[in-house]
Amino acid sequence: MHNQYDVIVVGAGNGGLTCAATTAKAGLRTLVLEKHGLPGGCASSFVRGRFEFEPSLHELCAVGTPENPKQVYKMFKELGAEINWCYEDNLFRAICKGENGYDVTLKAGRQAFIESFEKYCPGNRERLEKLFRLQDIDDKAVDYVMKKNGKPNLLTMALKYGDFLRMGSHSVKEVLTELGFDDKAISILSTYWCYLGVPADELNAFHYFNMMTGYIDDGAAMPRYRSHELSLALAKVIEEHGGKIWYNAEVTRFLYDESGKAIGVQINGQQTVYGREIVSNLIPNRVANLSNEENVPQRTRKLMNARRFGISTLTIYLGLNCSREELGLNDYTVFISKDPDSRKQYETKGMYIVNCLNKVIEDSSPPGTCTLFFTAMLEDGDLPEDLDEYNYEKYKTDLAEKYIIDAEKVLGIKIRERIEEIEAATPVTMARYLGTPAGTIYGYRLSEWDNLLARTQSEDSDRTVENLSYVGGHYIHGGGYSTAYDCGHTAALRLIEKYRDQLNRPEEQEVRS
Amino acid sequence: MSYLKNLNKLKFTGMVKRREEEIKKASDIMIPDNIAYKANRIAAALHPAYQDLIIEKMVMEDELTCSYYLIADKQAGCQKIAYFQAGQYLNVELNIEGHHFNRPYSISSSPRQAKEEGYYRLSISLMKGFIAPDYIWENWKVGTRVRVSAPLGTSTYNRLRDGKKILALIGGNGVTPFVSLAHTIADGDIDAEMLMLYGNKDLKSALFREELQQLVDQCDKLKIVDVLEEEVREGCEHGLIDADLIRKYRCDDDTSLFVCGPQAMYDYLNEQLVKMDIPRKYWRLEIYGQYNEPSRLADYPQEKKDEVYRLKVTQGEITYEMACPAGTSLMNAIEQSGIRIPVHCRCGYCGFCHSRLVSGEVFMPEFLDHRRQADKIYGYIHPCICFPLSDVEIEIPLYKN
Ligand SMILES: Cc1cc2nc3c(=O)[nH]c(=O)nc-3n(C[C@H](O)[C@H](O)[C@H](O)COP(=O)(O)OP(=O)(O)OC[C@H]3O[C@@H](n4cnc5c(N)ncnc54)[C@H](O)[C@@H]3O)c2cc1C
Ligand code: FES
Repeated sequence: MHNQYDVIVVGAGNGGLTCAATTAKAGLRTLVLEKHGLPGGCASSFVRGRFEFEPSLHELCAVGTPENPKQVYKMFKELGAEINWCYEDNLFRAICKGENGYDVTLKAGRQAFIESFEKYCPGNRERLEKLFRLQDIDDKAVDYVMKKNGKPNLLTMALKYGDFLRMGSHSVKEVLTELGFDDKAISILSTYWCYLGVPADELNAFHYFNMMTGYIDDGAAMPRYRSHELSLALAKVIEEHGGKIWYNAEVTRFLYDESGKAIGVQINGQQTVYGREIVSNLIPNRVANLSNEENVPQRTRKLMNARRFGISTLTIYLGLNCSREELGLNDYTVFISKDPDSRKQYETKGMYIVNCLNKVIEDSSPPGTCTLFFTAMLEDGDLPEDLDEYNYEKYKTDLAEKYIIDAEKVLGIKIRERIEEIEAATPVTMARYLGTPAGTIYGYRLSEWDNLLARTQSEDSDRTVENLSYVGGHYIHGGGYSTAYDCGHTAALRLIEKYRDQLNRPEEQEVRS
Repeated sequence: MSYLKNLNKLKFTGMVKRREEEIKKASDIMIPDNIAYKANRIAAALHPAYQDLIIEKMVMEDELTCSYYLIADKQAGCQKIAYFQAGQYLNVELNIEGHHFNRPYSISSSPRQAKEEGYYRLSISLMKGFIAPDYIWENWKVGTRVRVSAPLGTSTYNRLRDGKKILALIGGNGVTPFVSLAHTIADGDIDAEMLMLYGNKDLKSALFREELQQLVDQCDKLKIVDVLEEEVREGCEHGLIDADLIRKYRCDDDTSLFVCGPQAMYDYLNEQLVKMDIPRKYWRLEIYGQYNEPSRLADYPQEKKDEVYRLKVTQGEITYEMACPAGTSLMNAIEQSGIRIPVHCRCGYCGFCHSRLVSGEVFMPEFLDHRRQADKIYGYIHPCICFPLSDVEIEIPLYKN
């Protein structure tokens, strides 16, 4: 056995691709194995008739503009991946039907946000300003922790960053209530909870507001040619720097040496490859399934058993034979719910999102057409008892129809007679394409005890197998493009650091080229 | 100073401990496999990686067409066949003189027959000059073991998209998916009316004509009109399926056209339907089958037609080199040199053969180009519809056995 590669990345999702692009660029011999014919995992696209649909991305966080670049923008730029970014200034429109309902459209930019919010919920200016100041405190606290390499002085933390500690250990609802917002304002301000898949009374406030202010500060960005553009741009970086990507290469076994170190993988039940480092873009549960029991340490087994999966979704993709103007929809993102309380929205799956990409990218479908993208939460446990492969298609179509009819009513637009292409995806589809257990798209649930900050502080104890790292939506930050990118990048930097000495040796460089 | 005075900041310091407690409490049994979850179970049942089948029965439909009834080969570990939707096809694996080929065949039986009786019927016509049918006719017998894909294809009826009525435009042995669809309507599994315009040379060469007639007699949602090219007969149309006939029989605006037939029929319809002002929503004609004659197309550089180019193919760690004549698709050249490459539709639509064009220039018929936009920017191709215009180098996906 010899190490053919320095880094073997299993899975070419967002986390896997950024990790591989970063290691390949730094000169580590990198191989990516992807079970599908395309890179990207969630981040791809598909064609039906004359439409090319975005399968997953609603909005990418932390991109920023050329003038004011944020981490995703910078990361792509540094890697040398060119993306055609398109922007949306409206944050979202949220419609809540029924008693205590509302219909609000909020703008990006802190001042614009406050102004637009005041229109619907007057008298909250001061509270919102406090909320933003809390965010600034959080940012400073994080900077301080980073400066101290993750080992901050606890007294300093308690004295200087007390509110960070409070935000970091309480829920969104607790924090908003403490700031004095009323129920309606809390409901509107919690709208994004579904992007993290945990209702506001459980969701970590630090995590949530960090994301929310990200959207408010920078607006949302989208790649011009669907997420497939992002993934191919990263694939190109990998290949340009001598990295390899093998498609239709499903890892069927993870291999370890006698001491339990990860050493390689088996592909398609046929060939094996060995590497110094194995990076899994697959959720640890899958790695466990594909490993011998003795190679899954007890702590890892316990952790996996303690956790719940993140959410999965019902998504409906519609290609309509009318333009967005003819359809009469002026918003990119509309959140629609029946109850203002996020816990109820979660329990009854009574919240869904409608996106019209043509609002951001007018020619994202042929002239005289537009696309709609519906997303509703739907988990494995929500699938009907009697659902099987025979009635699945009917179930899916009926469900899609229910949401389409509801959207027609709520938005006052006509959809059904205009459907030229339709596709619906459920946890079954996610299970098929991503290969995740229960079709989870967000890895593990960011539950109250397993929140971002608790995970961050436990990173070392959670890492139980030598030379095996994890990247992707199942890692510390949970699901999402920017977070998956970020953790892929971070994991790569760690590996580059680990092998720095060897990278700098000139003779090694030569062998490589 | 604090904005959140009433929230306890010390809770923060207990977070890791709290998490550790949850982990400690949990069981340490090995995590279950994906199949423990309903979503994964249904996905696996609908989309197996492949299916091992065995031929249970053969029926001659006419002198040139044989129907094969395929059931699950339990001995080979296939417990039951995957359910499908009318209009879908199976990709059949063939091993001809040591070379592996795949060919798509529409399922001519109904989903209900798959569910209740456990078989698929593939009906295969012998055609001169085609390798696969020839081979199948020679070699497939009752008891032959055959490996096929999961059911594939998106040419299926969707009640939210398609009209309440279907006008089926059928050319010759393109009839197979419509036999399936007619059964499905007669079974009550699809709620739509279907009028079949069935084009043939003469009535006696119409495949499955009796079976269709029985369905029409038993179900008032089905109608059939024969369109005969070389025979004049009462109650039948004479000539080819053309724009006039479509106008005559498409009486209701909420009618979708479903098409399956020879290449020339698609070429003709693609041209006519635009002129006829039938909204795109109502055409469903994406199945083509393999495209073999690029030089017939107006935008093909005729001077290259007889060239033979070098094709370099990298698959994983191995690189192969071979010759590829200008009129042969990259896919065919690859398969003919004994390399196995993932393939489903063979007509540019499904993207399963998605590959990277490392260097060189290829021709692809524009109407078959269903690539994603970013593929065009980053130089990815579907080799099943690409013909070389220079020496070419590509990277293809691995093949799963
Ligand atoms: C419908 C939907 C909407 C979403 N909306 C947004 C949004 O608006 N904004 C946002 O930021 N995020 C959104 N997300 C979440 C985001 O897409 C994901 O959390 C993120 O892409 C996860 O990246 P990942 O690195 O975990 O990889 P994944 O996308 O999970 O990819 C894993 C890869 O591994 C491959 N693989 C699996 N098993 C194997 C194996 N055995 N061998 C080899 N390869 C294997 C898979 O094929 C896949 O390519 C959405 C997701 C979905 C599904
Ligand atoms: S096999 Fe379907 S596109 Fe090539």
